[in-house]
Amino acid sequence: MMKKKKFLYLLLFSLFVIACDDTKKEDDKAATDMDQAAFLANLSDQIIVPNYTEFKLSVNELKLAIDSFVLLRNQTNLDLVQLKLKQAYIVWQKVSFLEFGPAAQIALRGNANVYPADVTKVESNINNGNANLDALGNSAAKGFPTLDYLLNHTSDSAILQEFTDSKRGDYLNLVSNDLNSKTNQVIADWASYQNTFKTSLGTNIGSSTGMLINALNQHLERYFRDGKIGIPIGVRSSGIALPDNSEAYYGAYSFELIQANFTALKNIYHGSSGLGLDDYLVSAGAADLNDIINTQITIIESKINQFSGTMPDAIQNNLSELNSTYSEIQKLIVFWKVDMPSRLGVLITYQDNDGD
Amino acid sequence: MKKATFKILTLICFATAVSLTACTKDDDTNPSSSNNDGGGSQITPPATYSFSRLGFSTVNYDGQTSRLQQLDELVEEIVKGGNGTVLSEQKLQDMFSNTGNPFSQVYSKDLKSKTFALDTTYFKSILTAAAAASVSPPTASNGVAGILTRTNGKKMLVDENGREFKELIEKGLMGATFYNQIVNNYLTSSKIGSAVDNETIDSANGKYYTTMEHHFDEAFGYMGFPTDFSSNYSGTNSTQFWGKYCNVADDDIQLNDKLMNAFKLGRAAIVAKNYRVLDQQVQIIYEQLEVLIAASAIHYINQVLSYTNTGDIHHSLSECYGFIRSLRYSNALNRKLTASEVDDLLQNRIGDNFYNTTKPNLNYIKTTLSTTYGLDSVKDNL
Repeated sequence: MMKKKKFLYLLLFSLFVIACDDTKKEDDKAATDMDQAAFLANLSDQIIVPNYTEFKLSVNELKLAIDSFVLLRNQTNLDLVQLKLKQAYIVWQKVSFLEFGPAAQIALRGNANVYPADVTKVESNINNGNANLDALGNSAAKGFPTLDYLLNHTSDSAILQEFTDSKRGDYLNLVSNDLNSKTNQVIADWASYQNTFKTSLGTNIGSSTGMLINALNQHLERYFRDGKIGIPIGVRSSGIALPDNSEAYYGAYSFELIQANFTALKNIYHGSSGLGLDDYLVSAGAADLNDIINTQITIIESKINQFSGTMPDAIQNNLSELNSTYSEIQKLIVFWKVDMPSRLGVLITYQDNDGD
Repeated sequence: MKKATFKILTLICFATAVSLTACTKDDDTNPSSSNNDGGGSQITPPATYSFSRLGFSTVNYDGQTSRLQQLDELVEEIVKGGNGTVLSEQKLQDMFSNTGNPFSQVYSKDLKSKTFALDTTYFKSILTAAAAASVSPPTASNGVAGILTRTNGKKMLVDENGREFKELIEKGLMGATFYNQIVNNYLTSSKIGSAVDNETIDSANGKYYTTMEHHFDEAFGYMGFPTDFSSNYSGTNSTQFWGKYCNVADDDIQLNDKLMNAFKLGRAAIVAKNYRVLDQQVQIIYEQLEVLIAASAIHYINQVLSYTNTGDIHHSLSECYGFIRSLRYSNALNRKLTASEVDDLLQNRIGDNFYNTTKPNLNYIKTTLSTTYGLDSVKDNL
């Protein structure tokens, strides 16, 4: 009901604004003196591209470690490859919410991080050989979750034993090469897309600001709130917890990934030390909203930083705090998805659920 | 709460009134809302799709409304198969052919007899398979029909190739029945051409419309548009089927207005007996309906590319497949992709087994459709 009322007011407002304006639709809804070009340049040059570059390096290092491990399976090399996997998985959290432009084209998120891994599928792919990792049916048999399974799902000695089957090493290489090539492709495409990003001004559909805010919200809602916390604690399964649906289930560092991801979201909101969405809101006369958002970010940070063990442990022993964390994230979603777009004149075009 | 809603509605009415007065301008300057046939006669379409003669409405598409409702009920029935109900094959087939009053109410007319004739066997076989799959369905996987669960918790029944039955039927019949009837029957010369009666009115039987008017209205009836439909639609009437997807894409391509204006102007042209304007509007409808189908298909490709949940992926790919399949029924004289080009996308790019469909192939389809239908600038936003 509340939602409906809000919608009606919004409708009322938009009737006034657009009724007499045939040529421009969403532009200039919010009066702001924001230097949008500088804002986009800061985001792309100081955050997005450096994050992608760091991700590319970490994935390349992971690939090298995997190459060595497949050639020489010993504890030292297994330790190294597990470490490089964890490092790359953490850096992934700095780019996972950038699913627009080149990443959307390649579907980087769908290639890199569909979890839980489909273990049965992984094992049958290993046995059959020659899997086509681009097939949709292999979405959950590749990327970080599959690497996590192959390298962390049992004791180190058992894993070393498993890899005496050369088909297993072949598959590890296949998955690693796929992740590496998809990543390299996105970073290569950003080289030319960077200028497009910086020059697609305004807040219309298709503008960089519009795409970014849509991508951030979709990520926060579907892949941060739901994927990392909501689904494991059972909000989508009638309260029945699904601990094995947590990210990095086998490596057991879900919370480190959650923390890294939220830090990265916070960083892009603040534009690192330059112009960010916070400055944009202030320049649009919404300093009050920015204050509310910052307070909420702090609350969520303190919530997620209190966890140190594994997600299954937290579900077992501290479910109420996880539920409360989920609720605090939900509050931020309202500020980001409803209030921020309306103050900046951005239209949320993605649908959380297409209605059927 | 009721009071508050009323207040808001009043405000909206007021706002609309103000904005309408504020924006009044000479219709002559807007070629899409009025038309000059070159001979000096001017046709101005009405604000909504409503026409009358001698004080009586001349618009009637009860048969189409009935079929939209029948598809609604058929789809609802199939959805139950994902939620633990064993589907009766007989009931599904009866719903398709409207045999023995299988619906919640008695409907006249039926879907099957208006479905592209060569494809009725195909749709019947899907209904048969859906019923079979609904018996103690396991979790679906490659080669095994059963249940997939979406992120929102909804469960859906898919076949052994990961294709959602509901979408194969819903999007399938939107194409093979509704779209097919619009572009291959009602908007062709046999129904609105020069040989069709546009003079006689059977007022004795309460039919104040001509045969040609009625045929055009029947085409409109299949669209699932409210009569007051427009871009940024804020009316309270619900959109159905094509109308629903037209509205989804409206933010990006404003097809609500383009199609509504063409239907209103085309209908007004029939009343004015200005067949040149009628032809122009029919041409627009042919073109824009293909754009709508392509845009909807791209929308779902974008979703598949952005999703990570198997249920979500297979749902969206089933939608996408159904839309692309609809392009097969485009009017032979007014289509951008040939039937064999469409079949190439279906068979060689998506393929029969959705588990084997690849993202690069989906990107290929996206590019093909966006290039063909002029959607390059919006393809990533759809």
